[in-house]
Amino acid sequence: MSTMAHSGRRVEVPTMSVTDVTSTVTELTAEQGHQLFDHAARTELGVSGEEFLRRLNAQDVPDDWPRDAISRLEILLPFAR
Amino acid sequence: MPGATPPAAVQAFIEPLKDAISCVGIAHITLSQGARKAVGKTHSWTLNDGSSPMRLSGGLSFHAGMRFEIQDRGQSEGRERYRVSTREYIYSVTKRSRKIWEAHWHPLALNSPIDIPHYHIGGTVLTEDGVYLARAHIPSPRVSIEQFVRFMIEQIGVAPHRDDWSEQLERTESLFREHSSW
Repeated sequence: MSTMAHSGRRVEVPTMSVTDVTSTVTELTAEQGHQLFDHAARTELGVSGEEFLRRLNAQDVPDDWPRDAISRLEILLPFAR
Repeated sequence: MPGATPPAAVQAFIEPLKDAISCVGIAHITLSQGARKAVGKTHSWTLNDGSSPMRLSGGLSFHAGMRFEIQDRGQSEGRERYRVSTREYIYSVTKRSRKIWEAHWHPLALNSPIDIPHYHIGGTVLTEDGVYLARAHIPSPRVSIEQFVRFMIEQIGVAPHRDDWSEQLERTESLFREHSSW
């Protein structure tokens, strides 16, 4: 809040809030979600999303896959549904 | 975060996250399909496309994502019938792709036995004697995204994207504390 003069009195007026108009929230379609997941798997590990899922579900994850990358991909699993 | 409908609950959950992240840049949050309405399923949000981090000042990058679930608490809850609960989170700040600090909680992960919230400290900030910590899971309290964003601004010098960042983080953090179940 700030104050301004009004008819000789100080009155409180709301301070203008800062609105970030360029930030976005986007919900993907199933197809877009699959593409996102596949792209992320290729970027993180150099394998397709399908290959990552197959290895993960078979508990056959190679030792040389970075754990952090696997964790980041697991967070994205709902995109692969 | 509660709401009268699933979309309202998701909006009440996502908007404060977006506002918090916007303190360090333009936040593009991407939701998995059905994330605004499918009750009882696990959904995700991620920054950008899930593999492109948000660019920060000073050559730093920020990656964040969560898995969450919409819960139906019953008609008797009225306008707070639906609630969104976080199931997992990962926040990470890196410099030239090298890890500085990460806060993780991923109890649903199939590939990790670590189900408590923890930190990872990147080798890039450690001396040679401390390299063992690079793969360590350091126990931590639950970390809110607001705490992580505040850390980036106050402790590692990320330039804020808006003048009122501190008040903004305080506002959204208090909402989180109000509705957090643990």
